[in-house]
Amino acid sequence: MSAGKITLDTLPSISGRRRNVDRAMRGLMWAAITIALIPLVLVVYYLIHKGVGQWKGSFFTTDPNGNFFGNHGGIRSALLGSLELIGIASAIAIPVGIGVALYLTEYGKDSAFANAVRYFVDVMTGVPSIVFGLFIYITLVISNVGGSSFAGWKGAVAVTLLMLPIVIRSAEVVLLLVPNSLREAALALGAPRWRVITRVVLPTSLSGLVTGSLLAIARGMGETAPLLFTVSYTMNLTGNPNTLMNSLPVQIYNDIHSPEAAVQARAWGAALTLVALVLILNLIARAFSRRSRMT
Amino acid sequence: MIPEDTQTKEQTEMAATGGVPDQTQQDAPESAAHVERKTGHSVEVQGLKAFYGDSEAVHGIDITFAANEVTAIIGPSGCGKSTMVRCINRMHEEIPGAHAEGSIKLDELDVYAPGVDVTAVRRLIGMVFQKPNPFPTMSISDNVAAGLRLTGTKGENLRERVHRALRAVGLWNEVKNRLNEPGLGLSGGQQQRLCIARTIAVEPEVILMVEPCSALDPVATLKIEVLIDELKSRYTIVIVTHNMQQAARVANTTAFMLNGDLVEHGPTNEIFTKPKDERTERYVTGKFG
Amino acid sequence: MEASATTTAGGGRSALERSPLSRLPDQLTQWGLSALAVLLLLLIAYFFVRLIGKSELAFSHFGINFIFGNNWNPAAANGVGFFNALPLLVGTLVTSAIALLIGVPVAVATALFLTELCPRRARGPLGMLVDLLAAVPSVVYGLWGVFVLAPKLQGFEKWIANTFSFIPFIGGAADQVNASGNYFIAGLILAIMILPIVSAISREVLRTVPPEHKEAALALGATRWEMIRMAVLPYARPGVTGGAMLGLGRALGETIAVVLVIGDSDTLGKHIFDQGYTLAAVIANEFGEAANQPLHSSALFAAGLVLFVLTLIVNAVARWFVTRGTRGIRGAGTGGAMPGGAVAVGVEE
Repeated sequence: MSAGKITLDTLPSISGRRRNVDRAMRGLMWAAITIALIPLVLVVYYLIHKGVGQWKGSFFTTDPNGNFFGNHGGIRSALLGSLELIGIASAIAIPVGIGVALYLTEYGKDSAFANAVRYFVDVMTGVPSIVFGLFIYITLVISNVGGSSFAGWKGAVAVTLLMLPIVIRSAEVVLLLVPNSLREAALALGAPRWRVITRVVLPTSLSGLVTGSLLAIARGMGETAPLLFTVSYTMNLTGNPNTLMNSLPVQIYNDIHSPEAAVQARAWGAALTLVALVLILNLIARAFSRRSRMT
Repeated sequence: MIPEDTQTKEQTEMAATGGVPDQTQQDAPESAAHVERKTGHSVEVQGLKAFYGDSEAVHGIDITFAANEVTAIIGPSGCGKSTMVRCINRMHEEIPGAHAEGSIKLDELDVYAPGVDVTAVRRLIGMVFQKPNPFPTMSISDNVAAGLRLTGTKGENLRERVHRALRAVGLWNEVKNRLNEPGLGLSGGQQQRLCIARTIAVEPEVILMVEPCSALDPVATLKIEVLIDELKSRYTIVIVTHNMQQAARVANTTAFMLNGDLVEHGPTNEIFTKPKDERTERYVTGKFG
Repeated sequence: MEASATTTAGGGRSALERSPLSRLPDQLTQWGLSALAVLLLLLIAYFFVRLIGKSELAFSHFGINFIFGNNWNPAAANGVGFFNALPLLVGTLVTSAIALLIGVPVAVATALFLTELCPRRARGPLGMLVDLLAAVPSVVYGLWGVFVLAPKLQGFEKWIANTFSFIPFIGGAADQVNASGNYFIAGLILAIMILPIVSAISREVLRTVPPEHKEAALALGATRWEMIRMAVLPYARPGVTGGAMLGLGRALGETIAVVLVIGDSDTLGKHIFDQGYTLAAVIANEFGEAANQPLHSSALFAAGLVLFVLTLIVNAVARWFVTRGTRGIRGAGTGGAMPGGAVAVGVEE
């Protein structure tokens, strides 16, 4: 560099090429976020466009029927079936999942066994849901456990297996956020560990646990593959979990294959219902998580 | 000053090649760090205000940093000294919500003038940070070359400038056989000298240093202070430090800041022995801060 | 449960002398929870054993050719069918490769956008929207793919086939573009489905980049992009790679969306716009007809086993990368687990 005076004119400016590359890259990043959100917008748009017209009359109050002509019925059995299946699955997955997470954070901590459990929970996250379906099929369906081949409760178990790793992992993250000082204070007062858990740890992490549970439920509701091999498909409304049950994802899956336009239309209506439920659960979950965010 | 290995052969070599040839010896002829002398540029700060969102951290400062001198900025934590210095190379505004007003002139160039490209400003005004931060995925020579590569320097020219920078900070002998090893493999003091080499490789006019020795042990600190003393023959240096002894050792001029204001500014000697302001006197005698 | 005065401070005995009875609930809890955890591990081992058992027939019949032979034919003349799964394996790999090629760059770019460029206030909402892509059930993606995407992209696919006819497998057969489903559409839908998880992990990884490196780059006079290139991307590479591999694991196992848009053809497709099949899709589709055919069902289980092992390997490697890449944000005592929050949210069928 010369020893001459520095002025605005002598300022060595950045090359045009560098400036253009910078601009282009930034443009690409803006483009990327747009591209990423387009499918979301489109899917929701088409769902509403094609599905909302179905939300009328007896759509939610009649069961689908196999008629070739005339009224094809609604999605009542699918909707109620889904709710029942997810209800059973959640009733198992959420307590068990939180229980395992509690074990990991309160008792096992960094022991070899606890780390092995964590590793396997991570393994479970990567397992395709169809493999869970196969598992239940092999262990419960073929051998007619409980006196039935396909049954609602078996599908619920498959969905439970799917939900478990989600509940466990998100619960563990939340439980770890509870400051250790709180635990230690309670222990120092002489409280036994289970008490510390019920009185201190759980209440503090409650909204985070709710978030994780809601997200797991939302995930479970949308699964089709595990149900195909375990609950199969029926159009009937039934509350008995030991028989075939209908569910929204399977109903949709079936209807897509139909050559009749009216049945396909029903698929859109059912899909809109399913997505509405799932999105509402997601939004509630995230609202909870915002309130509980400690970081 | 602690004399280091004799490098007379290289020093003569240096004198024969580029740069503005002039006296290449300093007070310590045995020093391994070698910096060619060059007339520097001064920095004139006028009416500088710095904000974090709505909160004003620096309240209208006027100060001039003389060319080829080391100016130390001292003051208690939170007085705004780092903020003020980070305004000089426009790093302050990288913090979300932060902005600055006023003018800072490098010679006749106001770095805050509209239309001024910040990346060009930062080529002219380099910065060394508190914690040594060599790029972790780069080798030693790649670290030093990082800034040079941005402007398209390559090949033999690049290598030559990297080596020159490493010699200038006195790191050459220690790393010349392992230039391709990771920068993180060096000790803390070496890493900081590596960062200084990286900064001067692009040949700025001004070097800003924000508490460069606070993460280092006393031996490493001393080596860097020796280096700073040599660097001033080529650059204008502003050093923020909370260590008053350091300011006394390396700085020609010292400025004392308090609560976002510039309280006093003058030759280091005077600031420490005959301060004009009572607040300065209380700070340098340790009555607070 | 107020068992006795021993559990309260300042009451009778000191905490050191708690009665064995009052320790019982504690021990029970520990035992109960440990038992749960053990049960979990046993379940997995049991499953592996049974699945291998069910696949045995197919493997003993076809040997290693089950995986590498190119002939999947449930309706073979011999009456029991012939099952070599190469078309399925190739279909799985091709669709996953397309998903990665399209999905990962977009996902990483969105993560970069959200961490570096996006105005602060919009970061939360936009990030949430990207995450919501994962909430859409796969059957809905399949529905949308069949009725909206596939028809609308026909023109585009024909154009690609014509314009790039010199590239084998991609170009040349514009008249054979299959509108009911093909590898490309399946890969595209998979790209959309893996985007949220790759983006979420990439975001977590990018957040761990120490700001001092970014400052160093900027102070040298780098533009924003140059700073990202110098200080952010190299640092984030292992973690982002891990995230991409998790996306791969997801794509490999996705069933319902793929079975609806891939055309379900037992023969190996000749080009990217041809019909095909994947390991997961064939299980879902042929499961019904194979119910009473021992060889056929064993073949389907074997396909499931291959798929399971494949996803296990990919996920194990991915996990290793991600743990390496996010070590900065993990505290001690969380041993073998991966970043929890975002990942737990994002994964779907």
